Amino acid sequence: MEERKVSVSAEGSYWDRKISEADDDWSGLNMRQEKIVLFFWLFLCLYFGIEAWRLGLGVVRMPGSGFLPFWVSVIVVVLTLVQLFRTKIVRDVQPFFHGKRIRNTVYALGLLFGYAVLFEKIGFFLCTFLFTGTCLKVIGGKRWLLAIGVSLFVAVVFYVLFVVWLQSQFPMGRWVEPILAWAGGLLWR
Amino acid sequence: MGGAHSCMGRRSIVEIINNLAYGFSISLLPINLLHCFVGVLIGTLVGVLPGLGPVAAISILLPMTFHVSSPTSALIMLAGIYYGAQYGGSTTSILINIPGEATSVVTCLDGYQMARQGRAGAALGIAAFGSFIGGTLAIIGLMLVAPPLARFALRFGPPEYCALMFLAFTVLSYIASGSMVNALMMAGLGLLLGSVGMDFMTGNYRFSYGILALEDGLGLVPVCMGLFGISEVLLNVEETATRQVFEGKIKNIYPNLQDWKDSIKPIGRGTLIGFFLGILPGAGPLLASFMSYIVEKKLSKHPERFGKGAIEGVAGPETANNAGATAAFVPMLTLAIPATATMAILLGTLMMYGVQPGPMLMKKAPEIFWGVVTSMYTGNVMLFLLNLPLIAIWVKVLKVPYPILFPLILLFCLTGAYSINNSITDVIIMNIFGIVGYIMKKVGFEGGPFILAFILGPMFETTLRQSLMMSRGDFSIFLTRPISLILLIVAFLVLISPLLLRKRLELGTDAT
Repeated sequence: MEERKVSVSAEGSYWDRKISEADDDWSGLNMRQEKIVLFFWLFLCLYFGIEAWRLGLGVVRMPGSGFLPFWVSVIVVVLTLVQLFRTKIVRDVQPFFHGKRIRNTVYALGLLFGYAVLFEKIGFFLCTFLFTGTCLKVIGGKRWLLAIGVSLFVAVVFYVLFVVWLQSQFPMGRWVEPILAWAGGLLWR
Repeated sequence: MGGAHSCMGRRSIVEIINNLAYGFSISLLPINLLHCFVGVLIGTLVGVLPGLGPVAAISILLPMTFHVSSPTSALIMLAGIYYGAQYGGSTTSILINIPGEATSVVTCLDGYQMARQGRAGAALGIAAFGSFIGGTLAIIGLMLVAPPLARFALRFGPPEYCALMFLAFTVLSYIASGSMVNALMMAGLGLLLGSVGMDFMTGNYRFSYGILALEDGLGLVPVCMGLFGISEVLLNVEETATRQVFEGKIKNIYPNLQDWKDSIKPIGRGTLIGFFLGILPGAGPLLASFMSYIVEKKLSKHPERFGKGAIEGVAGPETANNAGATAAFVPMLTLAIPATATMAILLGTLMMYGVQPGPMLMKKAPEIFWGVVTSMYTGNVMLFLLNLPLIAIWVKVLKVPYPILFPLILLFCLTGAYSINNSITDVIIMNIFGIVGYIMKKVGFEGGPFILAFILGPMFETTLRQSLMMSRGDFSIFLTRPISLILLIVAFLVLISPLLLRKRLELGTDAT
């Protein structure tokens, strides 16, 4: 993981530095990001508004299912337009993502969705082991041996916590289930 | 007349003592003591660790409580996390100048300077004593204020509730750190997403498109975990700063006589400020800590010492944020109106357990109300014992590297989200809200107003529609009933106050 040393002194605290760095790096970027987000927001609320209209607004003395969502959409669309109008267009902007900085976030997201996809296929134990190991190695930059050791320990602790203690019904996977049952049997004896 | 008053007074004292005894008979049960201990321990831990707040911690641990806890035990534990985090947050503020909690931001100003001057022990000590005193006195206030407030709230009809919720949205949007318009937009999005699922008044499905997982609405737990847990990790793995932890030996954690003389009045004022600001819907402990610092600086004979290691600058805000955290339970338990995002999640927890929060909670589920309130006494004692003698351990916890910590946080989120319904859809919803939270935080949108509106949205909609049906479509129903009129006037003033403030500033600039 990309680590930066932050010195803490009376003159420049951690937060002062954080703020000034943010000003340097993200001033233009924030404007552009905010515009993209606001446009997305605008379309999302327009969509909600149209769908709410379709649901039916009813009449004021007997409001329908779409009454509140429609009027909330209208208010949020107006607020979004106000914000879009207020946000200045900055031509000289930084690229949307900052090279290495965003890499860890993308990896983390990939791992999160990967966990969701593999969880029911390979089972809780193996999935947890692979997830932790990959996090430690790829994002944390730890050595292989440490990553494998820690992830095995974490997988066992999570298994004991969720499956044994909390009795959660997690899929265990075709290969792991008999092994865990055998290990559990040995411990039980 | 006087006799009748004294008789009523005596009766209410007896009632309080009875309620207190009943509450302790629940909170002192071994299982509840254990839940309380686990709660305050985790609370201190998340307070100490920057980058993981009580909102995220409560969201992550919420699914676990379904397996092992009764509603009372679950709420005792989750409440412990909330007020425990206020204690722990001061440790990082004082020792490394990074607030573990937003409510401890002000403590950095003087607490860290005290540590640099070799007085870390005194700063930590007075923060713990102040927190204990503020927290404990606020519980007494809660016990005195909550029952009459709940009785008063029984007069509330749909228009009053609707106006009160509108006030909560506006106040929380007002105190959000970014733009108020952004916060109102977040509240709007919360209302829209809160309406996904079945419309309870007509039985129609809204925005669910035949997807089974959406027909009951978006789950509170995956949404909270994504917005507060996952998004925080995504931001932190992007940019991790190495923390420089205080290396010296921490000694003299018990404040001396002079420290007490300097701090006792700020502690008293902090308790009052914290309690009264904490009760206000939307204000909470954050505003209380800032207000306390401003008041102490204004009242001080030597305001120039503030920011350079004045013990009053630690004692006041630390007391205020704990008193505020406790007082925030008053509107949540009596009116079902959460003052902060954390309270909104606790309210959602009660609803998930099938308990109807509001004025009737005290009558229908007294074991929850009085059990939680009295558990705060024991929780405060536990926190006091955990924080002062064990300070060296918390300093060691600060040194745990983030690359080890973040996979664990993500795993708790993933397994927790799956375990609610044994459904991978919840995990996917959580991941999507993680991305939403990450982007929103980057462009200055806050999660607090969103989650408040998301939880209160269905109730707000129901009361609004009921009010309109009662009045046959006449909106003046909100203006002809005194309580709702007052609430709406306050909400309106909150909404226009930024414009008034700007106008005043412009006039001031023109004058100079």
